[in-house]
Amino acid sequence: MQDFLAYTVLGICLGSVYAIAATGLVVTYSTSGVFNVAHGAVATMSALVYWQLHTQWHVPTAIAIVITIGVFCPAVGLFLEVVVMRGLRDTSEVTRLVIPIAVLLALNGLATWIWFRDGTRAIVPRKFFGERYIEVLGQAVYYHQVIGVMLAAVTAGGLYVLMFKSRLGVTMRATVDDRNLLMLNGGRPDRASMASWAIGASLAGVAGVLLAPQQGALQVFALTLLVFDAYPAAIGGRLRSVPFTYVAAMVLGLSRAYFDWVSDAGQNWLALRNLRNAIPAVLLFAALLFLPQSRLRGAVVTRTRERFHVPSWRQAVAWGGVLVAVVAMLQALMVDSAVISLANGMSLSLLALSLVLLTGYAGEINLAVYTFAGMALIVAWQFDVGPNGLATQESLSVMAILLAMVVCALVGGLIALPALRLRGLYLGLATFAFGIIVYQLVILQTKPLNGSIFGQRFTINLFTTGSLTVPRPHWFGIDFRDQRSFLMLMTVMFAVIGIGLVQLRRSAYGRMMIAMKDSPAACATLGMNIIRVKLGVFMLSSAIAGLGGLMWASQQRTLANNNNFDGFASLLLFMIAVVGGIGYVSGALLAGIFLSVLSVVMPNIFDKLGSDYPSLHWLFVTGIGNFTKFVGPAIIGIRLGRNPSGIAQQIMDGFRPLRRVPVGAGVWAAAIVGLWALAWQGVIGNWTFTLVVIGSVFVVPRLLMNMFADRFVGVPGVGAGTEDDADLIGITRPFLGTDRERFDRELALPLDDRGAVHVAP
Amino acid sequence: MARKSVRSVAVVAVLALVASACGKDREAATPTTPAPTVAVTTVAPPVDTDEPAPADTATDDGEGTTPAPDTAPPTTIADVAMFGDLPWPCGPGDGANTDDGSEVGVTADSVTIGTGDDAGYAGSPGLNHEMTDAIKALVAECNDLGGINGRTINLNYYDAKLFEVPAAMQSACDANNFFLVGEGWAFDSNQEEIRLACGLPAVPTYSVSAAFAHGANVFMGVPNPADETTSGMFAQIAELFPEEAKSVVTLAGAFSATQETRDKVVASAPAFGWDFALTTLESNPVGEADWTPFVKQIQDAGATMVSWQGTCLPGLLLFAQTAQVNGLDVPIITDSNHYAAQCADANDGALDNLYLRMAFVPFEDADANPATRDYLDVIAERGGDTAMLGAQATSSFLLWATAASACGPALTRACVLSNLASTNSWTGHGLHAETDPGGNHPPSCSSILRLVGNEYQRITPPEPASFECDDAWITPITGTPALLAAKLDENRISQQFAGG
Repeated sequence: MQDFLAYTVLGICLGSVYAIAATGLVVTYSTSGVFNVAHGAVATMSALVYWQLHTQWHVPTAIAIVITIGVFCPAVGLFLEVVVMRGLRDTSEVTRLVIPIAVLLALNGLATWIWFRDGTRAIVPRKFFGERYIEVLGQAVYYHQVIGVMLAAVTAGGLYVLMFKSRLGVTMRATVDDRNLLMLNGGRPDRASMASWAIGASLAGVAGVLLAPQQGALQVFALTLLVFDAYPAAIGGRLRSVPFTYVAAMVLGLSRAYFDWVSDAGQNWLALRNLRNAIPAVLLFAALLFLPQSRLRGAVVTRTRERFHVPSWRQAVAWGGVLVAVVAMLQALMVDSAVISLANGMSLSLLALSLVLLTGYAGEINLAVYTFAGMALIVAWQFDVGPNGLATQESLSVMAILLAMVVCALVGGLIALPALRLRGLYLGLATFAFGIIVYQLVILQTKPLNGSIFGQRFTINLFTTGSLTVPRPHWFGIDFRDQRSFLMLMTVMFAVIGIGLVQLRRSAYGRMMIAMKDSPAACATLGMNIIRVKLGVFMLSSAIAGLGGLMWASQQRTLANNNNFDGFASLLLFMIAVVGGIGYVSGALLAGIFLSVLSVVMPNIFDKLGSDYPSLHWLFVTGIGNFTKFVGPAIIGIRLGRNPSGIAQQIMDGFRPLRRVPVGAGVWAAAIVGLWALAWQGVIGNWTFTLVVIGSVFVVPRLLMNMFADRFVGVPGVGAGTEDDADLIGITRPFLGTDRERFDRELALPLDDRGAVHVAP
Repeated sequence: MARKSVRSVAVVAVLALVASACGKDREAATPTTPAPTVAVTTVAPPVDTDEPAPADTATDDGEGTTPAPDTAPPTTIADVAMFGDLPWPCGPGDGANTDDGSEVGVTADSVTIGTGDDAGYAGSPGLNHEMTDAIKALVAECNDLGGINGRTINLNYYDAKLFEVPAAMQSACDANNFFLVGEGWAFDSNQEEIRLACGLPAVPTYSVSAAFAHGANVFMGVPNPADETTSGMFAQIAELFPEEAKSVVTLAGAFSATQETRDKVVASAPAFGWDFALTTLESNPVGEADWTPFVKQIQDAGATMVSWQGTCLPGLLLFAQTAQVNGLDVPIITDSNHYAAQCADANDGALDNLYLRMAFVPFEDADANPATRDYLDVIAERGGDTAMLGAQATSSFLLWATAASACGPALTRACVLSNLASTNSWTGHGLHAETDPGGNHPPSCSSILRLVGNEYQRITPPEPASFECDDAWITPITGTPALLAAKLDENRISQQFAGG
């Protein structure tokens, strides 16, 4: 009984912290429709600001708190609302999930840059009232924790009053329900959203300042992660009810405490030991599945700004061929270590392909891609190597790959099945929770799993030693332990799967996916079996993730169990894939290359420049280099709000007009090949080649367009006097044949020769 | 980026653990002095004129960098520059260096080596850069003294950024390095296949994986083999706390490297009078929201001592605070990765029960130990940060430089490797307890420090810069998952990544 009471006290203290974090999330969501994944990052930033003021600059506690919670946090909230989130109106669920992820990465990168750039530093925030404590029901409780419990109750009560009893609260809620109606009634939605973001950020700040001492030494990502644990409470409150959120937070805190009580802090069932770390994820998954969900705002949005073209079958094959040729030519110029970087990128591109199918085509979200990679590699390792084998001397067999893909497909189907009714954000969170559960219970499992089926005993070795080494293939007499061969193998795989995906997209099944993405309700009305499509897409995408993951693992060779499987890496990959252009195979390619090049190679280049020109070290390393390293990818992610269709599309749009000058484009391509040949033969240096090619990308298209200006009349963005907005064509200018061509393309209708006919204006 | 947090915690843990080999006996060693066999006798004089400054003399009056026999003219290079208790293994040579162009990374007047760390890891910028700081300072110092037998050392640096180990190793292979010296990459099993394929030998600062700790052509100043562990601390603690040691609870981070350390403790400590009440407690290496459940488990088990495997910050600090508040007042025994300024600075009294083992002479004893003093001075002079890992890098650099200088005019990998293999007694010029790099054995010596307030105080043995030693303090380890995965052959060389 004494223990029961003690653990109850602990659970309530923990629950209160979750409550503060979760209510902040709910305020932001219920008034802006954005699930602020970056909430934890704001909390972390605030904790650091408070520490800087209080501990470093010796500002008195009360003043430091006021500056942090009352000035800094609202400022961050307002900044986010005005600069970033306001641009998210009329974007898809995916975009509205990705931008906060990018903000999270940016804030965390910034915090690391400001406070931890020299590495060795430890920031140890102290509890309010230090180590003083009182005994409650026989359990020692810090004053600090008591403050937390009181603040949680006060916050919940205060917010309830604010949201439901105050004019501001009503305006804030009205903003989400119907913005236009609110404006018609004289409300000011912009001001209301600004207020809600400011309040949300302040609550994040309170959570951060309270949580930081309980984390001991402040660690940017660990603190952010702690706020993630509060998600189930927010979902428990159905993202709109503050009182329910408070109750759900208590349930969460008590569940953790009671689990520790009955399991003796995890010791009673060793195979399930890590369940104690996965409890928030388990509850999140359960809450998503079993609680009735309010309709997501995303379902109301019928017109979004994302637009994806669909290439034809012939184009897909041609571009696949070009990709293989280009990679083959490039690798011939590269040193071995650069080939490794490129191959890493290609393996990540393969992994990202699964997202093109799932998210780009079908509009579903999977935030646990690496989880499938982990499962695939466990299966393949078990099949091909086993505890007594030597991975370096084995070949990755086709059987193992197929088996891994089947396992991934089945698991993918299993999560999709209960998640079938979930959509958008909820599905994303469910997959994220699933990823964490698998990470804690399977991937971090060091005990081999023994069992028996029909009397046959079997042992499945997971990451028994904490890491697994995956073999490379040895097919068609080629030993793919050779890095260049393996790069080419992955490139060919990418091209083949990419062509397959394009073909799938063009099929009837593909149109069903798009229809499902656009409006599940309309599909159901037309008698389409959404469940089958959704399940099929999830399984196929999981299988591709398994294959890609296996190639990634095989590229890495040895993987530790804490390498990329914890959920964050999946968030990053998802973000970068969306930035690259989730609707395109080429977007996946860009994402992989981007991940391996931008975060790895670019800082190297700047480091090199910094050491070559020491006087400019501050510029190259301290400035640009650190910027690329810490916040570069995130900033690019945030900019996605401007162009939600992704980088791939921007690039293609830039080059598409060149089809009108085939000879010029051909000459250009031939010139590049010629230069490559010179570089390959060592006549010119690799740097010269790279610089000339990059330079030509900027110069040649413009040159061609000027030289053959007559051919570009009426081409959006190129020819003079054109208007890009489809709604206005015919009003601001006459309708042209090129417009029909464009509409046909947008609608993915087969182009016929009519499309090329110029109609005189 | 994001993912990294988690790993940074874990990885720092590993790294730190790695440094946790145990001590040598300075005391015992002083009279007989290590005499790193080949090295000292043949190499010691970085000078051709002087008498070969026997190691004994050096140690005896070893009061610093330049004992400078007063007979010798005070010309700069001709002096026997000392590092710790031995002369610098660097000097101008006799100008008769050979170069037939066949040896990778060696010419008649230069030798190219590589080093590296994980400093570019965005989740923990500057991770372990103290190793590279040390190597850079030592290379500069060594070159000023004339280099390796007259060969100037060219140093290449490779940043593995934690996860880019294969590319870093491939770069090191591509750049035709003679050796890797003083590098340390946390995910070092990822590099082994590439390293073995290009035949690059290494004298790293530390190893994490058993595959690298037992890798072919790998030698370390302070070896950390997977099949042996130093158990001196257990005997010393049992002597300090005979009663408390009878009921010990282990509390390890749920992470393979910390788990392996825990397994080693549980396997070897009972022979020295320890009894375990509980060995299954594991905490979340990413952080615990509340440590009270662990304190309660430890109290319920009736423990009188805690054996902690993890990191000082934030885990141990919070655990110790929670223990204090809940009335659990027992000694906490841990490894030398808890010897860090930030750990001491963070102590608010809760960590006063912290006891840790050291194989290195702590920086507090620098005045009593020339090598430690010299390490701190070199870094202070050349710029950079100091840390135990930096001292460990220094030991490995000196080990390599000693073996390389001993080869004289004909510098080949085979010669250096052979010298390394026959170096069976090594103290890093007095930086740490005696080890056996050639035989890949950890130290059989240990010393115990205690954190009191914001300072580390020496407990056992009491004399500054000293260790207690016993040959029985090296305990064989069998059957751990890490060891099985490494697949050692009869020479204790890992075959895990042997080419097919």
